[in-house]
Amino acid sequence: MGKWIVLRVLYLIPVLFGASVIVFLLIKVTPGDPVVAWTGPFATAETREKVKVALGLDQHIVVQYIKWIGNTLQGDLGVAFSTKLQVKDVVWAAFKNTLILTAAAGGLAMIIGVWLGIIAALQRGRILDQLILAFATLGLSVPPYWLSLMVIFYISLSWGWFPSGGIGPSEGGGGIPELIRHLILPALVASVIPMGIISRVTRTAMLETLGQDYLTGLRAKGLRERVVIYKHALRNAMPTITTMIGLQMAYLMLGTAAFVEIIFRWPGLGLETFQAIGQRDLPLLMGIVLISTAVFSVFNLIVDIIYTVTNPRVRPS
Amino acid sequence: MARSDQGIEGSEAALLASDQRGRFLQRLVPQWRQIAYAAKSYPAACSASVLIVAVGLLSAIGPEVLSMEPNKIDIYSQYAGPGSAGHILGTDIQGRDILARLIWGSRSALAVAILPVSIAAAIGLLLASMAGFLGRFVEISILRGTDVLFGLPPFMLAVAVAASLGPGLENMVIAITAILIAPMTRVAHQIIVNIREQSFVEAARASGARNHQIVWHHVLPNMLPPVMAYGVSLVGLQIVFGAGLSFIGLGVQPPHADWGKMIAEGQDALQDAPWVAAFPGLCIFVVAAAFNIVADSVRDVLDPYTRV
Repeated sequence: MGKWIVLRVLYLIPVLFGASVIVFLLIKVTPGDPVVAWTGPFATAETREKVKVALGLDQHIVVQYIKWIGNTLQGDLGVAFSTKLQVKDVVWAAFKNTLILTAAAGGLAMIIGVWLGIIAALQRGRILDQLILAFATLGLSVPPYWLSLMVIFYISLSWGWFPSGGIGPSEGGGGIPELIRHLILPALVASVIPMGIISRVTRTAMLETLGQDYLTGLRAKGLRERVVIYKHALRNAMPTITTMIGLQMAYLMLGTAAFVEIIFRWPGLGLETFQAIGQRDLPLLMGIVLISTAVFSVFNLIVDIIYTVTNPRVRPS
Repeated sequence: MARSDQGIEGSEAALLASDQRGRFLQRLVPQWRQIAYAAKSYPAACSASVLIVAVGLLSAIGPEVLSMEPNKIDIYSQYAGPGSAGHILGTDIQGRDILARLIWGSRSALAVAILPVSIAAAIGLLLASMAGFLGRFVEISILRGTDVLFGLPPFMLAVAVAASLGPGLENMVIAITAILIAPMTRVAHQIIVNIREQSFVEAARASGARNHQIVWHHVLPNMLPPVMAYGVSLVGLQIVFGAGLSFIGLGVQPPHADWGKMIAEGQDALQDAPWVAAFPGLCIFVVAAAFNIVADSVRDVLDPYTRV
């Protein structure tokens, strides 16, 4: 078991290496000369040559990659074109905000999703089950960017209940109550998709365990129905559910949340990505992609390890 | 009179013809029964399929047949509300008809979902077949390659590809295809691993069939249904995702109509003209939901044990 975990962690290295090569090549195929972008259209050929050497663009592509990955590993992601700030600092600040949103939306999705899934499984085939399934399927299909706009229009603009965007007075200076006030709407919207998926998976996993014979045995022993369901059936369904929750958190953080952030002007990775695209800020964009790739891989690794540790059936011998 | 003129041969031919017609009908009737049975067992999926076919037809021939102009600027009817004269769903900031733009925009909305899923399915089938039949080394290389692609978060990968290649419909198709190749290959590979252990593959090999013959005649026909079912389940998600990429400015460029782009254009006028953003979003939602409902039932039929 310990050996398997070590191997699994080591396997992260080639995966991240491959991913970094892809990101690097994507920077290279981008149309437009970075030297021109750096010096402006009126620079002389001499200046351009100097900048080219300074940026290391005269060297072989493999040398360029090694330098780039070396800098990256030392935490130097370069300077953002648009703001001239360190990419590292920009990404870190944005990442913290994305984590807050993900934790709030993910927590909601997890608690309500698992709860809905259990109810649906217990009410299999009845009207409540159908309603929950319909909600889950529709929740899966709703475009998060559109739902954000509709929620802003109805709840924020028409009823004036919650702020329509941002993170608080002068970007986060309002303390915890202001933060929560600004967090409620985006977190609710971002939680819809993962909530749908988690409730479906919980329902399936619960249905599988609810049909098992040992539950009948426990009931025959005289255990109360609540104990049978929540202590025994749910516990056996948990490995499948936790794995799906883990994967959904990763997709939420680096997918759904991004769209929601853009609409609600929540200063996270998604909004930063959106602005980087608008300003053609390639160093910033690739910094974001690289950091999110690392986060994503580590997240998947943790999910994989938890699944294997908690599930004796797939545990390697 | 005419009958007797035909003679014996004529009546025989008529009998034969009626017999063939009978057989043809016989063949057709069970299909109708099957369709009726499917409609009864999966009413939601059947209505969803009808909706998908209708939207597909509308996007294929609607723009030309209805001859609506999506880019006709009419500055005097700027932000006309839904139900106003000549504009059933209202107009946008330049007075362009929303319904016309929705019908035209359905093309790119469906294209960025269906094309990448189809291309990725073809590539996934090819890679999985190679992995399954060209030996251990090829198999491991291909699987490790998909592991690397899986390490990249889908949204960020698509954004990076689309941003590197520049905005546009073709590049968005490439970007979405890029994120679908790894999951498609993995699913196809799981299926092929099961199939290649089957005795009919062994029998084909024993009778002297080559690898490509086995794959083409025996493996592919068995792989297509599950891979297509998986593909349908991806289309709904990609409609939402593709329109999202176009919403953030990576898709088709103005003045072309596109559902995601239309939402972005409506964002600025949310308070005064909410319908500009509302209708295209509703279209994305309904079409994606239709695909997801069909995908659920298809999975039900193919794999009744893992019903979700």
